[in-house]
Amino acid sequence: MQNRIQELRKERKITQSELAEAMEVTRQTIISLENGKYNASLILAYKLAHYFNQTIEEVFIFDKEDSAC
Amino acid sequence: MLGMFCGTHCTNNEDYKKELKKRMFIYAVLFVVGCIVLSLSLVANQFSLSLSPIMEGLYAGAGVGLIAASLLLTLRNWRLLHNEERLKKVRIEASDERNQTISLSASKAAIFILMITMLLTIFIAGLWDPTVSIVLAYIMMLFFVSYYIAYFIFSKRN
Repeated sequence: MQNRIQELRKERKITQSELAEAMEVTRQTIISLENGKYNASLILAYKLAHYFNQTIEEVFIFDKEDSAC
Repeated sequence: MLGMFCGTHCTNNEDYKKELKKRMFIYAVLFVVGCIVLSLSLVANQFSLSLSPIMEGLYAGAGVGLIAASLLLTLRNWRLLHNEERLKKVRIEASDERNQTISLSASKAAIFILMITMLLTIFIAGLWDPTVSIVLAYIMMLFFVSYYIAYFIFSKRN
């Protein structure tokens, strides 16, 4: 699943550490999310979207291939 | 965070402090168990229990290990309880969803390796000592029974 976290974070001039602190996750989680290595849970996705004043669909781009095993 | 049982769902320091205090009680129990096991290795031969030197060493090692681990973990938790900043950092690492996902995947892999090793040991050890095979087979059976019971309980909760 692709996402716009890095783009939105850079637009707002926020560091990965600051975003991690706000989300109460580790910086490594933010790095993995931005690299697309890790998919956020619904709760974290909601928190991120809320933090950036966006909807979940605007932050996370669902690809039909993501649902494949 | 490295550690199978370090995960938490606490979202604030106060709840995490309560959880750490509960864990400290478990460490106290482990300390007592360690003392009992170590004492057993030291005094067994003075009573009617005749332990082989291997078992004496095993009991002594397990006892010392439990005592040392429980003391170190208690000290670690005690220090965390008195340092809010460090406590928050550790809580975030322990509650981080990515860390928990990694820990779950690592546990699955470790359980798979353990099961394969036990299965092979059951077949191979049985050639020399059937007792080992029987004990291991019962342990495997206990694992699967525990798994299905736990699965049933958690499926009712969620």
